[in-house]
Amino acid sequence: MDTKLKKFKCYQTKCKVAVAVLLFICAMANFFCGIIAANISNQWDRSIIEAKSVYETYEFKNKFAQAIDEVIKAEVYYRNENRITGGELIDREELIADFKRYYGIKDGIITGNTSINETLDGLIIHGSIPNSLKSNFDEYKELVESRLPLYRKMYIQNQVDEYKRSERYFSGIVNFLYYVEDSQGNVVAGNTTRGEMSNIDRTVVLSSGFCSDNIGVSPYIQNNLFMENSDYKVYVGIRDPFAVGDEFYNLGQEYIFAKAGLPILFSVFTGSTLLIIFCFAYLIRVAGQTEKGGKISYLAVDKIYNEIHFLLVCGLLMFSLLLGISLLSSILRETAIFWAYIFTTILGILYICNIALITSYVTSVARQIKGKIFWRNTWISVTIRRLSELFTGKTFRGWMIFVMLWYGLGNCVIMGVAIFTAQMDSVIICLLATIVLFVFNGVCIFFFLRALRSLKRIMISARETSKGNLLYKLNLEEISPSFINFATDIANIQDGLKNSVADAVKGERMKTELITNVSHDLKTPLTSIISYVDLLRSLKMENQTARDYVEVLYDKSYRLKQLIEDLIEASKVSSGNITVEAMRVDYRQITLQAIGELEEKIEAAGLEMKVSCPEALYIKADGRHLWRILENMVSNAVKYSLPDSRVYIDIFQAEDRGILVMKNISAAPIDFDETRLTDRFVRGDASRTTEGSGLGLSIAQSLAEAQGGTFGIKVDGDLFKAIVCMPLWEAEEELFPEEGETDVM
Amino acid sequence: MEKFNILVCDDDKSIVDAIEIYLKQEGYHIIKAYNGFEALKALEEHEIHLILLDIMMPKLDGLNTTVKIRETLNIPIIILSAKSEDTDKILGLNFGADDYITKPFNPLELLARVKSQMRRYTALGSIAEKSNVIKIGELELDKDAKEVRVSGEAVKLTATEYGILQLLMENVGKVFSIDQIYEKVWNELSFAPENTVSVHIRRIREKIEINPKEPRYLKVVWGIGYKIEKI
Repeated sequence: MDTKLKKFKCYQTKCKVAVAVLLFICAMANFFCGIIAANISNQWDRSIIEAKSVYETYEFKNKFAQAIDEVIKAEVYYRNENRITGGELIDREELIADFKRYYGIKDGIITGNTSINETLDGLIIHGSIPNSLKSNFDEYKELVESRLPLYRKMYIQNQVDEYKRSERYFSGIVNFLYYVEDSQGNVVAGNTTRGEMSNIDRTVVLSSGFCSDNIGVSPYIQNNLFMENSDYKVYVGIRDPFAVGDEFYNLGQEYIFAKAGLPILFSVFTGSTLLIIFCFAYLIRVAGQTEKGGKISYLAVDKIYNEIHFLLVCGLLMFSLLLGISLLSSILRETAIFWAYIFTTILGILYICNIALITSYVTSVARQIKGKIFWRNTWISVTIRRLSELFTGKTFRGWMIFVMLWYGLGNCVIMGVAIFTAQMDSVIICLLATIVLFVFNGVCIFFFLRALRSLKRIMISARETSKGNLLYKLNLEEISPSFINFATDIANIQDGLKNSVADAVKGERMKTELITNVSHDLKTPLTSIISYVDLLRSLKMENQTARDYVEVLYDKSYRLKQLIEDLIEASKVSSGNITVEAMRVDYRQITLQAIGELEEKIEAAGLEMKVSCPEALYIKADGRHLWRILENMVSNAVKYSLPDSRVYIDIFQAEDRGILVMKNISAAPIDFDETRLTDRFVRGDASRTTEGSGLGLSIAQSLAEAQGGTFGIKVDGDLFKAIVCMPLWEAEEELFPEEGETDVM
Repeated sequence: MEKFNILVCDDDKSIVDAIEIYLKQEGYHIIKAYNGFEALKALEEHEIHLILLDIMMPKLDGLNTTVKIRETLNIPIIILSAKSEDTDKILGLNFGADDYITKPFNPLELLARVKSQMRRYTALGSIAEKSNVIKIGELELDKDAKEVRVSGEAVKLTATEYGILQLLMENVGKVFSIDQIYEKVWNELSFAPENTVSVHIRRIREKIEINPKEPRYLKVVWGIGYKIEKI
């Protein structure tokens, strides 16, 4: 339970973040330990590791030897200022060599029997100077005479300065004790007495050919030469422990710090390194997962191709390595503490950045390996995949390139063989190669033409489909393999289209069924109403009021019947659910027939119909539907016309249309928008008192459109115009439609 | 007079009752059924002279009932249905029905149609074929008597109306345009668009048809002319 909980928790984001933070803290500790340790080991020789005290370290011995060198030079060689200024200690050879180097003068003998030697006071010439070099020699002589004494003074001054510097050095030293004895045993110089020296344990005694050293410093002493040439004896010693106040004391302090600090630094360094490794291992283990064995989620960085990622990371690491090395050497060389800190900080930032970079890269790789996409996400793999797509013919373009490549290659090879053999005079093989070339090309062209034929089949099929021939089916067996995918797609489109049309037809049929069922449901109770109202009417009731009521019921039940029929018709017509059988219809004849049929109503309304039509005008229409249009138009006129007015019907031809215009004067002012009059349920009288469903003109419009015609309304003041345009009957189709129809029936 | 038995079959009881009232007034005896099976059962139990049958009924619908009846009987069947599509009517008549009335119907029309079918069924071959008599369904035109009869009852027609009807009945199935009819009947050239002919046609129809809006004999071929349908 406990381990489970632990495992579950260690995949949490919080935990990951904590480990990442720990990693960075470790990295920082690691870095600072490293840098401090590096600093210490730079300052101290390896001897510090084995040294039991500061006196055993190389650094101390070096410093101590330097101090001894100073003593030897100042007290044994120079001894006092007067000796120097007196010129006793001038090294003639060295002075002249320096002088000549300073003025750029080459050594040399002028001729075979002539030579020049310099002394401190002038030039000594052996032999004679040839005239040609006389001026050169004069120039040189002048230079030696005027400059050499000056240079000698400078030389002496340098020795004086050196002597004084040593004196100053000894005045600032408290831990280093010395005194010098001459051959008679008299103390000639020193900062201590014999008595004091006898209390010092760590001492060195130097004389010509003798050295007593209990510190182990003698190999470091450089100025032993001066001791060889003198009879002086030098006693030196060092205090143990150091007294406060000079560079030996500082060295001692640094030694204590380094000796105590190094183990801590090393242990912290090792510990943090181990922790870093552990953190890495943990991060790799949980990378990309939120639970054990869970789904891998990738980060944006994982999208980089792995080789590119690798090279990028390597490049950055190399760059930072170089930068780090140069920074480190700058730090070690830099004496100004400020710049040392700045460089150290930069190095630290660089180090942390690198750790972050490595963490990111390693976890990315871990995620990809866990998700098994490492290979897939390499540039090489992607390229191979794309190339293989190109050549395995999965894409049409790739397939074409593939085929063309092989075709070209085949031709090249065969032609190459033919040409080569022709040059080699082997006629038979050349002939054979030529035949093979022809056969190869012939076969290729055959297959190419076959593929083209398949393409043509597909194109024909696509055209048939676009024309609306849904029954045309592409035979996939006749298609060459190169176009089989394309052909399958086309076949699928055909199937889909067929299915959707079938669905649409089915939907349409369901709509019709719905209308039929509703009409049945409405009509059945209405039948009872009409029948019983009629029975009530025939009862010959005494009560006049009751009789009046029954009359109202009788009228309204018939009106309801009419309304239902109109409603059903309107929904049928507007949903396009009607069959149109185009016939040759005489516009004049159908108008006269319609007026004849409705004569009673027209007369009752006191209207007079005026038909103007010079001759028969044949239009293409379905007579039954056109009759419904005319009936609705005339009914409309009868209902809304001014009583005892005239209704004009003009029939004429305009371009390829037969046009019927019916004009009547409205009894009530028409305050409707003319486009709205053909909307459903819009009626000429807002109060809706007149008989009618308000569907008449809407039905007329739908019916006209279903027959390929138009129905429009124009209102000009009280003048109401209904216009029906139908296409003309085309001459070449001049069959007698009625006979055609009976044949079909 | 013998009482004729009429079977009325409809799943709506109130309609059956209403029809019963009307038909009883005319002296018929009514047998009621509310689905196809009941109708078939009634046919076994009673001697039925005419059937009024609804199409949409539970258990066994009107069309299948019609087919079943026609296997054994030749009595008139009038279908009474709310299905008003042309295809429904054609289907009903082809299945063996003699007439088709759509709901909601005018009770008087129903009575007229019942009477008409009854006459045709009972007056078996009472009229000998005469050369000068043109008979189409229940419609007779006696050229000698210059008389038109519907179901044996004489109809009063004007001379023009008679002329038009004679022209159409002598050429059963042929369509005559307004101009042709005018020229043949008036013996004049038609010169002006007149609606005289169409008005006459309508009046003839009102006299010879049970329901002038749904004529059996004199039909309008819209935009082309008129004809008398073969029956």
